[in-house]
Formats: sequence, C-alpha cells, structure tokens
Amino acid sequence: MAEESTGGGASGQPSRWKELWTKEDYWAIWLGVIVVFVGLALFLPRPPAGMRETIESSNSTMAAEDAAAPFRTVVWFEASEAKAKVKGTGRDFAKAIKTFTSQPHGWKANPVDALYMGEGKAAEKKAAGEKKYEAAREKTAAALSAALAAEDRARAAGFEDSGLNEEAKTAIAAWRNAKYAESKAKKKAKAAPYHQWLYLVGLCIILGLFFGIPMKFMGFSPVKFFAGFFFVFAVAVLAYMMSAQSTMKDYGIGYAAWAIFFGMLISNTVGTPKWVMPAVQTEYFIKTGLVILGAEILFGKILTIGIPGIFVAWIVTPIVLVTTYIFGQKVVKMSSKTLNITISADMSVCGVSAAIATAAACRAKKEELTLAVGLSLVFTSIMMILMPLFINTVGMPHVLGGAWMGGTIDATGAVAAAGAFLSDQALYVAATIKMIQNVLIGITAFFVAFYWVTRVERSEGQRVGLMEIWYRFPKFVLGFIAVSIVFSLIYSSLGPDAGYTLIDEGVIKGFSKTLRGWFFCLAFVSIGLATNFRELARYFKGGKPLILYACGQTFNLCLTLLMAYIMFYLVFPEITARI
Amino acid sequence: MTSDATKVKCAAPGPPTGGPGALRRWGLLMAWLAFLWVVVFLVAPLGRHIGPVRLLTDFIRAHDIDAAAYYYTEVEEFGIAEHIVRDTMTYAHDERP
Repeated sequence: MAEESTGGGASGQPSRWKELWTKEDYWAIWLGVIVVFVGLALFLPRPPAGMRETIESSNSTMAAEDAAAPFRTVVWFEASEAKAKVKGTGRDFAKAIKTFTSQPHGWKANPVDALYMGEGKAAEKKAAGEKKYEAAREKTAAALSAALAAEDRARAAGFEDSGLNEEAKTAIAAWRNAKYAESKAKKKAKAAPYHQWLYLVGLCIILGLFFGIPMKFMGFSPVKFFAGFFFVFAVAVLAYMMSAQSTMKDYGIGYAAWAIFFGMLISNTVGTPKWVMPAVQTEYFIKTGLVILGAEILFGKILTIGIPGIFVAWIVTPIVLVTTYIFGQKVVKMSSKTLNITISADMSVCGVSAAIATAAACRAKKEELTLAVGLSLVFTSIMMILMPLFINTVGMPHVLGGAWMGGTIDATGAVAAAGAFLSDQALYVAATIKMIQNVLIGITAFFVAFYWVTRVERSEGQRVGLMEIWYRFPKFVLGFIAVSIVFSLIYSSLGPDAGYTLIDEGVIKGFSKTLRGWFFCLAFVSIGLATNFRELARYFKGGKPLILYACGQTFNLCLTLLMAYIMFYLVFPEITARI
Repeated sequence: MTSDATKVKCAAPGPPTGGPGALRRWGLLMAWLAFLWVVVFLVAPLGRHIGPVRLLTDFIRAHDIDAAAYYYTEVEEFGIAEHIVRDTMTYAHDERP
C-alpha cells in the first residue's frame, strides 16, 4: 500500500517469471506460505497424547447420553469438554513458541506491567488469583451438585415430566456458567513472572530479517529496511500495549485503532523520520498477513449450526453487502467506489479483518481503510453495549438474540462479550454465526478483486480478456484463497474433532495467528506513519461514510433479525430446541 | 510493489524533522500524549459509572474476554461455542419434551 492504495501489483503488463521473486504480491505469498507450512510441520506430526482415544470415548459417551436423555446431561457436557481440552497448544514446544511470539501482557495503571513482571508482583497477583479461583471452584461444585440432583429427579421420572426436565436443563446451564467463570479464574491464578521485553527484542530481529531479506530481491536495501523496522515494530508494541490496558480492553478498542493513532500522531506532529520510511511497507505486511489469514478460513465450519447458520450468515451478509454498495453509489453518491465497498464489507461481514481483505483486494487508499476501521470501532462499542440491553429489555429469546448479534456486531471479540453477557445459549449461537460469517472473508475478497479487475478498472467499452484478468488480478488474493483451500482440505480429512485439536488449537492458535496479528499491526502502524490528517479529513467530508455505514447497518439489523426469526423459529424450530 | 515502494519512500507525510518549528512540533506531540493520558485514565473509566456499561465491562473483566479481537480464532469463547454447537448438532437429536 503505498502512498496511494492498499493494493498494488496491477501493472497491466504481462507477467514474467522474474516477477515471482521481484514482486511484492508474490513475496507476500511465499512468506505467508512459509509461516503456515512451518506451523503445519510443527503441529501435524505431533498430536497430543491420547487424542484419538479421547475423541472416540467422548463421542461414544455423548451418543449414549443422547439415547438416554432428552436434553444434554452433565455427563454429556463433561464428555464434550474432555475432547475440547485436548489441544495441540498443550505441548511444551507450543508453549515456548507462544511465550516468544506473545504480545505485551495486560495492565491497569503501570505500563511496565505489559512488558515485565518481577517475582514479587507475580506472587502477589497469583495469591489474589488463587483466592478467587478457590471461591469459583466452590461455586462450581455447588452448582454441579444441584445440576446432578435435578438431573436425577428428571431421570427418576423417566424423563417424561417436562417440568422436571426444564428444571434439570436450567440447573445444568447454571453449572455451565459457574464452570466458565471458574476456568477464567484458574487462568488468573497461574500468574508467573515474565520478561516480555526481551522476547520482543528477539521477535523484532527475526521479523526484521524475515521481511528484510526479500527486500533485496525486490530491489531495495535490506539494511535500510531493517533499521527502520525497529521503529515501526516499537510503535506496534506500543499499540498492543494500549489495547491491553484494562479500560481500553473493556471497551473493545483493539490494536488496529491504536496503531493508526500512534502512527498518525508521529507523522502529523514531529514527522515520520526519513530513515524509518523504507520500513513503512503497509501493503507488504498486509498481504503477507492476509495469506496467513487464509489458514483460518476453514470452509468445513460453515455447517456447524446447520442450514439456519447458512441463511443468517451466508445469505443475509452478501445481500447487505451488495445492497449497501449500490445504495452508496446510487443514493449516498459516494465519490470513491473503493471507500464504498470497504465500508460495506466492513459493516456487513466482520469489521476490521473484512475491511483489510476488501481494501487490499480493491486497492483502496490507506485513508479509506483507516476511515472504515474507525467507523467499525465506534459502532462496535455502541452495539456491544446496547444490543444485549435491548434484547433483555424486550425479552427476546436468547437464541434469536444471539443470532442477531452474531450477524450484525462487526468485531468478533465484541460478539463474544455481548453473547456471553446474555447467556451461554446466546454465546453459542452468536459465536457460531459470527464464525461462519468470518469464513466469508475469503470469498468476499476474491469476488471484490474479480469485480474490480473486470468492471471497475476497465475503460469504457473495453472487453477484459482472461489473460488481462490474470495480469491485473492481485496475486496475493490467489495465495490467500489457495492457503484457505489447502487448510480446509486438511481440516476435512482430519475430521472436525482432530481438525480442531491440530489445526484450530495447533497450527493456528499455536503459531500462525499471533504472527498474523503482528503483521496486521505493523501494517496499521505503517498506515498511520504515512497518513496526513488533513488528507484523511477530506475523505470524511459531508459525513457520507457515516451515513452509508448507519443506513447499511440499519438494513443489516432488520434483515438479520427477520432471517434469524424465520430460520430459528419458523423453519427449523427443532434446532433451536436443541441449543 | 516497485513503484509503490518508491512512492512510500518519498511519502514521509507531516512536517519535516528539525528546523525552527521543531520545538512546537514536539510540544504538540507531548500535548497529544497528555490528552491521551487524560482520556485513558480519567475520562474512559467514568463510562464505567453508567449502569449498562458497567454491567458489561465488569462481566468482560471478570471473564477476561478479549472484546477487541478481530477474528474468531483470537477468542477462546468461540472454541467453546463451536465445540458445544457441533456436538449438539451431532449428538443431541432426541426431541422428547
């Protein structure tokens, strides 16, 4: 992304073999592929001990419980949980990788806590955590006794008394909530000292070399890149630190906003130092991050909640995306098509990650991506607070409320917070809908890139042939899609349970996800360091982006609610009853 | 990339470093940082005194949810939800009352 756009590489010139090692688009693919395949090599051959046995035993227990009871029993949940606990990230090498690549830690008042914690403070924190954990454990034990007692009463009645069945389901839900709180308390009780700053220096050197060496092949000085990279990385650390501050974390203000803010603050006050500019490579970082993101787009997940999920996430979302884009062109009269589609995708698909992918696919300007991210951030914070409040006030069923929030709140983390705040039932539905919607990013990026190459960027009356499409198509999008297809195939061949253990809780969470986060953060820092505030303000003139977002989101809220009601309550009520 | 990167290298925005206005520019940076401090440590915590905001933020803090996450793989709750929903669809078919 350079001065002008978030994309690039569309020279319109015939592609040559040499471009495979001289063009940024291809290097993004190579670097992204190196990351995901190193992850595969690390995790696939080393499954956790007893993985298959635990999966088989858990599944047979759940099948037996399903045959015996008309609701999910305590034993059923324990079996499901036993399977979920088998994680690729539980191995020692995975823990070492996590420690090394980890972002700064959480803090409240002293920013040093984000980078360093001594033994004394860690012991203090651990003691406080253990106290809370003990209290949480007692609550869970009491809730479990109550759940088992209620379940026994229902069982004694042969599960024929609907009143007793409902009582048992309520008691089991209360136990699940207590267990959820206990698992979180357990983590806080594990506080240990850390010297994260030391690992961050090491990570900076490794990433500097990782991105710097290809610069030589692209005709630039790796040394100059490496020198500037230290500055860009330091601002990225600062952005992560701010997103880990407790109040900011509560409001859901993530690293993207802070990275842009700090970058712009520097560039618009003291100015971005000239020696830093060779490392201000937004496109390079973004494209590499997107290729890695391909590994997280697993098509096998779209059927997780059955047909209702497909309708709410995969039918409503494209309708809202296309309608908002047309509305932006015809009614709001957005002067920039790239800004229009970036905001439309950001609002309808899943916020920041969709904005990044779409902006890169249509070569939007960096200011346009900044604006889309800013709008998403503001609306997400508001919706995360207001939607659960509204759902509770009007007494909306939590399955419907969960589907509604999952389909409309932009940021994924905010969906989890709002869903869990309502109930475990709302969380399950909201998270599943959002996850299915997340998978749409790949398809959205591909079709936006294709539409831009064949329709938007062509001259009037020009026919765009197949070869021309190939020359102009942003190649990294192909890398992004290819990685997604390869990982989806591996995931399917492993099956959902082993796939979850080795891909979700192995390659992705243990390796690629953290690096992808760093790459996006470096990209947002670069955007900020190369953005002029006055230039950004020009894009907001007339408030058209805000009007577009607000109108699109209103339509999204109405259509998602309607579709969720039709699917979960009229067409597939049996699925709702099961959840 | 070649042309774009060249543009990047020439695109240092904002005022140049050094020169007579340097003091004013550094002063501006410091003022912004002070403003940020006020927002983060004084203004933002006030929001937690608003009933619904407090309820949600207390919940987020108690359960350590990463409300700022951008993708489903970054949030632990998504893993829990996926497991439960998938198992429910596969191993919870009974429709008795």
